[in-house]
Amino acid sequence: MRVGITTSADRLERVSEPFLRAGLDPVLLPCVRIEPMPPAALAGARRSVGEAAVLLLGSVRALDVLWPEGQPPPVPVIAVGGATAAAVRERGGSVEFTGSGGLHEVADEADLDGRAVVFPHSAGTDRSALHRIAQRASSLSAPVVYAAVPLPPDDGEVDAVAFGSPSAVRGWLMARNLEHTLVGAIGATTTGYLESRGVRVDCISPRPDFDALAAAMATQLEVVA
Amino acid sequence: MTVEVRLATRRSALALAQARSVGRCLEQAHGDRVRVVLVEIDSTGDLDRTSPVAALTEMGAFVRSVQAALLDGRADAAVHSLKDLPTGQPDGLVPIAFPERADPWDAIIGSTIDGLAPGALVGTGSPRRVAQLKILRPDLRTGELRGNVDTRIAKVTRGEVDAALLAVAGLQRLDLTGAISEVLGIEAMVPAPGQGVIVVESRPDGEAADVLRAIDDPTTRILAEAERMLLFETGAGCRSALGALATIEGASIRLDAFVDDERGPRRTMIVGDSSNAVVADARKELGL
Repeated sequence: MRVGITTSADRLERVSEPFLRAGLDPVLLPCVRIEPMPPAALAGARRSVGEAAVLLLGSVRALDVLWPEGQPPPVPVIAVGGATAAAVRERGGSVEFTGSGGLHEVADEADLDGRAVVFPHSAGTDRSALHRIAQRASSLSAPVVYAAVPLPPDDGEVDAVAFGSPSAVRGWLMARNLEHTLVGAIGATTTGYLESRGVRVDCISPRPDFDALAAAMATQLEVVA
Repeated sequence: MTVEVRLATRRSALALAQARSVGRCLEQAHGDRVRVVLVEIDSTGDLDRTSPVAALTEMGAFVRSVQAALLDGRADAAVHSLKDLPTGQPDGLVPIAFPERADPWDAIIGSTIDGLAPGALVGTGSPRRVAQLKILRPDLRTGELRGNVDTRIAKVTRGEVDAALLAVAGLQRLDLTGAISEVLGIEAMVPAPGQGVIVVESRPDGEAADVLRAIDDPTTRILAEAERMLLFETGAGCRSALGALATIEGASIRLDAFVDDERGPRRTMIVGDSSNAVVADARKELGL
């Protein structure tokens, strides 16, 4: 079964691996392009991180964009998910909390009270959870450090499509539809966005990572087949 | 005794709608003790519909002629969109009242952002809107869009542009919200400082000033002044790609800020204890 992989070009191979392992045939159709904010914006964000008590990280991407040479963040990190926590540790950074249920869970459960928090993030991120974080922190700074730009995909026949972000969905729908295609989403945010665009989601990953999504889609495709 | 308040306003449909809304606020606050008279003024900005907004040589082109009516005694107060008010004010005039803010958001008409085909043409004369649109969809083209709200909508309807960006507040005031395809919330676009805020300007003393103070909304004033502080301190004006929106976040102030200049676009959100603190942190982070 051919599954469209819609992540950005630099991550296509890595994201394809779990789909290959699950016995699926990944078709590389990047639907998003990552554009870091200009150096002045990144310098300002790094300055804020240096003055904060804790760095809240929602993605590996934010880490890569802010410290492209692989340096560790200069302050302790609260990671929204396991992949981000692992990337911070790999660089020699310190992780004091690892979430598994998204930004809302972090807002409720991480040690934020009375601390200066900085949250570098992507343009267009749903920041509703930041209200709770702002209530608990002594101050909150949330600089935009990159944009995920939707990109219309090339042609290429698929039986299913895997989406890892709303931006990828935006890109796909700029050029193609999802009729007669099994649709998989990595988590609640992407599912919500797909549904808001009138797309039925057939398969939602039980965890927000591509290993789990690939396994879930393989099971679903077997059932459908 | 009835107090007569002469409100100077531009003649455009939007300016008149704003002035009438101030009139309604005054009537609600004072009943028949106040009689509102609109004094309609021609203004440079209204007459000049061909030159791009961003290229007008003086700041506050829309405002000067209305202020002149106030200074020469033809009117007791002037009604402005706060976002059009220059950061410097003539001697003897003060912003006497900030009525409750309308929606601060921008909107797109003609299509949603996601619904636009690659390379579609979006009309807007605002460098701030262009810069933020380019972050969301770098493939889109933008073009100047001058004229009043009706004219801008007509340009979309006639297909001269595929879509256009406008302020929600203006569409609301003209009862044209049916044209909106998508409201661009804070995740998508930081509005102009003071967008959705009307300010009433007058001399600080006298009967009219006393009557006008009753319609001041302190929350709107505090938040609008935080946004304007960023504008003041950075020396930006209506030609700048600067966005700022202050809101109340629990017991704190939240400031979303955006700027684009020769160093490229930067955007942040700061939550802190006071207007001074959030503006200072935003300036530091944005390098302003």
